[in-house]
Amino acid sequence: MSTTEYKLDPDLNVDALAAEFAAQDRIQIQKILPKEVAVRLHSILAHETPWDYMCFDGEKGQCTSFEKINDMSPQDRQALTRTHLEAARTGFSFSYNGFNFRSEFREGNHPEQSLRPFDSFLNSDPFLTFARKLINDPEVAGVEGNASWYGPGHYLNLHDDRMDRQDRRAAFVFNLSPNWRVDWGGELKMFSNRRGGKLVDAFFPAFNVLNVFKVPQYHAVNPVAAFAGAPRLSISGWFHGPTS
Amino acid sequence: MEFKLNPDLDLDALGEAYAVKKRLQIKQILPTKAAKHINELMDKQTPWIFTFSDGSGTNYMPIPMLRSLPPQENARLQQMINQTSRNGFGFCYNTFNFHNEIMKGNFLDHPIKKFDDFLQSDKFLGFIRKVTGDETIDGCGAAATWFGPGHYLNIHSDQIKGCDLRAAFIFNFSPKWRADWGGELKFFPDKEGSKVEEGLFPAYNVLNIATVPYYHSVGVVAPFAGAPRFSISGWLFSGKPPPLH
Repeated sequence: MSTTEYKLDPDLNVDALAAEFAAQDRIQIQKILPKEVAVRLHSILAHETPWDYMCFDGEKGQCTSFEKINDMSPQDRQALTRTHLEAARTGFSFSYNGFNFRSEFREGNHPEQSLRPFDSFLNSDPFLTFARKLINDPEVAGVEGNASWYGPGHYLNLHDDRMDRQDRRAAFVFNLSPNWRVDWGGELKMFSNRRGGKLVDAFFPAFNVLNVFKVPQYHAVNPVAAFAGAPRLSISGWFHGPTS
Repeated sequence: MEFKLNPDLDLDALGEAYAVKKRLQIKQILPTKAAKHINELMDKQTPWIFTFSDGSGTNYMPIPMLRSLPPQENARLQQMINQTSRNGFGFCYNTFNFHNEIMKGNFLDHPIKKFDDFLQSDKFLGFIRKVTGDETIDGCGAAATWFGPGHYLNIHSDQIKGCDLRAAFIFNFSPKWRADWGGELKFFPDKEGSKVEEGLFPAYNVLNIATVPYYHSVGVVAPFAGAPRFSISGWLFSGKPPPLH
């Protein structure tokens, strides 16, 4: 296979996009990458990513390998499910497959993993320059990326992405789900306040589309329907300031 | 109980608001006691039936029968519903088509009959004509619905061949709904759902009205939802009523 050249779509009008972002503090950008780059990323997520299962235990996130889940007794597996669902009923919780590639690579894990070149691209001058211009923040210093796979029943409840120890300036989602149908759920929902208030925007999974929104903003990923015909694949994360 | 609308509603203001988007959400639609009565009826006195699409039409199954299905048959049913819903119009939820039942002479002593009488009366239809500005509306057919975890109604426009449907409505009777529980009524500009124009959470004592046709769906209720999504929904038509199920 030829080596993929990671870059943004050369036809993006960054000034116009920045104006739109400034007006709303969020934006959805179609055709963010050249098509062959998006196809390659989709293929990596679909076939070459070492997923772990991520869920909330009522206090903090748990990361469990598929091997460990396979080794669990049915009772332990049910207990894990019950715990995140019970938390979800009245507060924050989540359940999905993830690969926190930025932190894995930083720790020197997965030396040959296929997302390494994309991670480098996200932290290269061309992308950081784009990120700084788009959100009008010259202090963006790095991009913390992770990959996620939401299958039927997976979700991420309402939260605002604020973290005291991390200098998150904006959150992003590269959507890499072709031919998604709205009935399948999995939309990124934007809310007016921490109780939900009003649904101010809803972005369905799509292919080769980038969402960016300023942090903090209340948002959630709607549960994916039991009948969804494909996983919701994406690469998401944050544009960081210098103190992260 | 004799039903009436909240007497404090400002009809002129509601009519003006409706004209802007051809749909409207109205809060505090019924007097508090009436809303509580309906919520209790749905919670305790409604003979719910599970309804779902198998691709060729609407199916019904009494809930005791659904619950007594052997695991394998239950899985097969679920798979069939999922397959229908994956690439086309599908739905599954619990319903009580009280208007149809009453028209057939059933449930005449059930307390919901009083609400059906109210929906057929000029108290309600006159109000609807005033808000929608549609003077041709002269009939109404409604059903109660209960969406539990995993229930949904895929995108559709409410158009029925051979019927002059003018508008659709949904009374919400779900107190203390949480945004994460899903089940919103979503409005779309087209049949692909290319964008979400608006998404309304289940609420309590709230009425939504929209001019038909309009593309909309009820999103999947989350597996962890802590309460049922109760509503009474129906159609407003001119002349011939839609076919009875």
